[in-house]
Amino acid sequence: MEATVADAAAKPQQNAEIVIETRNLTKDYRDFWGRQKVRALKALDLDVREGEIFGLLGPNGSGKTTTIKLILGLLFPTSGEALVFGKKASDVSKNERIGYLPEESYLYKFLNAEETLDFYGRLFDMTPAERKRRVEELINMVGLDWAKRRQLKEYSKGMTRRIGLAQALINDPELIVLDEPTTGLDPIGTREMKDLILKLKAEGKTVVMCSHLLADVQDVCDRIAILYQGDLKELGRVDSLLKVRDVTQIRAQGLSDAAKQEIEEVIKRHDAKVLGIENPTTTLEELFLNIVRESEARPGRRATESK
Amino acid sequence: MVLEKPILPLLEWLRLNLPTFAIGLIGVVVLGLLIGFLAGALRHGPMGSLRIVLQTMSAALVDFRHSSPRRIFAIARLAFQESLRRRVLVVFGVFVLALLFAGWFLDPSSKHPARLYLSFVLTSTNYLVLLLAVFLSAFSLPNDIKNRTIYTIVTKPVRPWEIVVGRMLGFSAVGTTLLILMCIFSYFFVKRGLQHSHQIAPQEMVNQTLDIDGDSMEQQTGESSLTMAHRHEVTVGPDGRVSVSNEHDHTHAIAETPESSRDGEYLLGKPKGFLEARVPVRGSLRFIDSSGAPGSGTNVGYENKYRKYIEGGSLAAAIWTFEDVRPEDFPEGLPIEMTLRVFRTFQGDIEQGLTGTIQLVKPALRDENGILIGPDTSWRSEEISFPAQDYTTFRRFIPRKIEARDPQGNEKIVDIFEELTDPETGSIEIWIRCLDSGQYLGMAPADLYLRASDRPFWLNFIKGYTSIWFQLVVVTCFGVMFSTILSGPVAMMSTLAAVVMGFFKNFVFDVASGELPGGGPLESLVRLIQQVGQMTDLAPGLGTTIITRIDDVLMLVIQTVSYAMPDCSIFNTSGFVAYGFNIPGELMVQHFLITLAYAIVASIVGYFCLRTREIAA
Repeated sequence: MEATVADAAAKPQQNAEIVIETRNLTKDYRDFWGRQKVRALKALDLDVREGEIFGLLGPNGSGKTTTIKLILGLLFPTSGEALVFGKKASDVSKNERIGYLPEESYLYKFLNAEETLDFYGRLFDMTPAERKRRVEELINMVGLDWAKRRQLKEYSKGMTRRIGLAQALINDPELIVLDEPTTGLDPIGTREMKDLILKLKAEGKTVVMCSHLLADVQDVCDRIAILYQGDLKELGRVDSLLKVRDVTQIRAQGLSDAAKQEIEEVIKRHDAKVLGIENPTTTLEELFLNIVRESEARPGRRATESK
Repeated sequence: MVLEKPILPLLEWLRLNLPTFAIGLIGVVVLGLLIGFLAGALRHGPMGSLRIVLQTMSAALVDFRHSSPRRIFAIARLAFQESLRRRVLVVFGVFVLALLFAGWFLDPSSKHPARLYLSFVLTSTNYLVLLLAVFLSAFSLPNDIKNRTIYTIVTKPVRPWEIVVGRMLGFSAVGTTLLILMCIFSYFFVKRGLQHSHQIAPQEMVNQTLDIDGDSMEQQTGESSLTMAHRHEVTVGPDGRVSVSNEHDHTHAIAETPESSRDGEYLLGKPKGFLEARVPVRGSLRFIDSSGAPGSGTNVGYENKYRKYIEGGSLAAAIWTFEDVRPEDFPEGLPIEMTLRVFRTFQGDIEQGLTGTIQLVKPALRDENGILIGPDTSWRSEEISFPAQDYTTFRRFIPRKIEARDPQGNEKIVDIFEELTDPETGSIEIWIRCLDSGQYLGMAPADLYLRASDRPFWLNFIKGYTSIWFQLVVVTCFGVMFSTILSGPVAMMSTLAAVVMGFFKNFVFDVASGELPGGGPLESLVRLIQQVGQMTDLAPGLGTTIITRIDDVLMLVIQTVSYAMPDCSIFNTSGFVAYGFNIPGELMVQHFLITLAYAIVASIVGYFCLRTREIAA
């Protein structure tokens, strides 16, 4: 593919420090006897660079969460390796710089918001004064000041999600890994979450998120990888992936019907087809469904990073 | 009280047990490395596996170096909070309820009420606390993994060993809290349960005339009222001093005298002597047989070989040698206490005990077989007779001035510490003989001792509970260790199995080593089904051969496992408390070290299990 303007914009980032690097990362799930049950991830090569928002996209069971777990060291790779900040995923010390929000928050239900954050603060060996300041700050940030003394089991899903996010940010991490950050949130909550992710990026943090909610990914991600049944199907900048290259868009104002007809004729004369003017780009949803359909027709690896 | 093994001084105990511990630790490490290597070799080949094992080892060292007390404390605190929110205090409620109803079943007319009460509270606390420890420790980590709350922990800079040790500490703290509550509660339960009083009216007292050295003296005696199924004999001596006889392991102080009391009744005060912590000085025991030659005591046919017997009306004697008996420790004389056994070859007067004698003897020079070297030049005291009855502790205070005779047979009054003890070693012998011919007295080394001093009972009570605490910690550590690799119910069953095996370790070991008749597990099963007795040999044949071969393997496995299991029975000190003996500090230190050793091994094993485990799998 030829270079485009959008890729030029990505240039400075390519020189940025690589935060996550996976090489040939493969994961088989085995049964009790060690027999292979399913290959959840097939030889994944990925780079995530500092300061970007990277989206992992795919239907359920495509290997998104597996990838994240491998990166965090919750799973051990069958072959290949995942490096975070240049350290192996099994190295605990990398966690100092990571914040992780798991799929369903998974917090201790018998603690209240303050106790929860205080506990996680202790796990980072923070001093009491530091913890107190940070806990207050985060509770205010996620807007749970009014409920900070209530046990988490009384929390609604949205509230749990917020405290989960606060928990992931307790150490002011450089890399934030979000597993389905917007599930269970109402439209306003979703909007707030997205704004927050963008704010984190503005602070210079790297965000890796996985989702099957395409709109979310389209709105916030700089680059995405689309996984399907453990295969990497598409990797690249969102804007370039969504650019429809064989369609030219003409935008004009105040064209008369006659003028429009004339333009149509000109287009026809050049053996081209008029598609309409309203849909300048495709949506991610369309791209995604295309890939899924195509993969079902022709299994196997399709894409490496689009230049 | 049965004391199978003497309590060794700490240094000697360490010398004996440190090598065992080291061998055990090395065994665990080697076994762990081997399993890790083999598992790795299956997937990555021998070289790859070796690399992985080495990496894991070095990572373990790094992990250990980077552990932070704050994180361990945070996890311990979480475990504590989790337990409280899971309402473990209910266990305390169950305990209180059990004690409230126990009053119905604890027989107050027992001859040894203190023993009954104390063993009841100690045993019930022990089982309750251990059960609690098993449940708490085995389910927590598997639950965290199942609920995936562990994801948010292991993605923080938490070392696996902090998770393991933090939990061990947290759950031990929960158990400790409960144990302290139970300890306080049961202390007052015992105190209250034993509290009683008697009265005696002066008109019920009978006048007696005593004839002491030609002077006739008046004294009054009478029986007190019946409380808790016993009466005391009360004596008011000629000098006006009131003494109360010892019944059911106790006596009473006098609370009120006739003058101060309104209707002239004597009121007996608080019971004394129920709750004691005696500090015994023990000696070594040897025997002389009925012909007067050194022997090893008679076996009267009991399977339990703990006690040996001496024949009455013969030269047979049991001789305790006490070392380092100094006048500084016993300024007034020697307080001797003994609990002997009686074996009758004919019934005789069953009400009356057998008659035995105590004699203090200055040790003569003997070789290691107890045979005299040179002439017998020892001083011997007069023989003091005593009534010997089963299950009864006989106390006798022997004053310093005592009648004795020298080897030539001259009698004179001597000082125990001058003529009857060896001036250099401070050793003295106590000879016990039985006078009734044809009857036997039985004894073990721990049965006769000098009661050096007493310690406060409450302290001993706390020591008894500390022993339970040691068990609690060991069981918690094992529970956490199992839970790093097994699912909740399986971890619980494994811990429970370990505890049960721990309590019957000696038995299990005897079965596994083939010491007990009846063969291994499979053979026992066949015997059960075919209803074949333990002592009959199974019919020889192919089947029997196969069974015994399989059993050999099984028994080897059981033997190996039983080595690694915590031996809960060694922590059992309830006997000391119940029988009123001070628990020696040395024993407590030994138990503490054993606990520490188990905790260290369990946390190391737990660390590697958790580290090599795929948390999210």
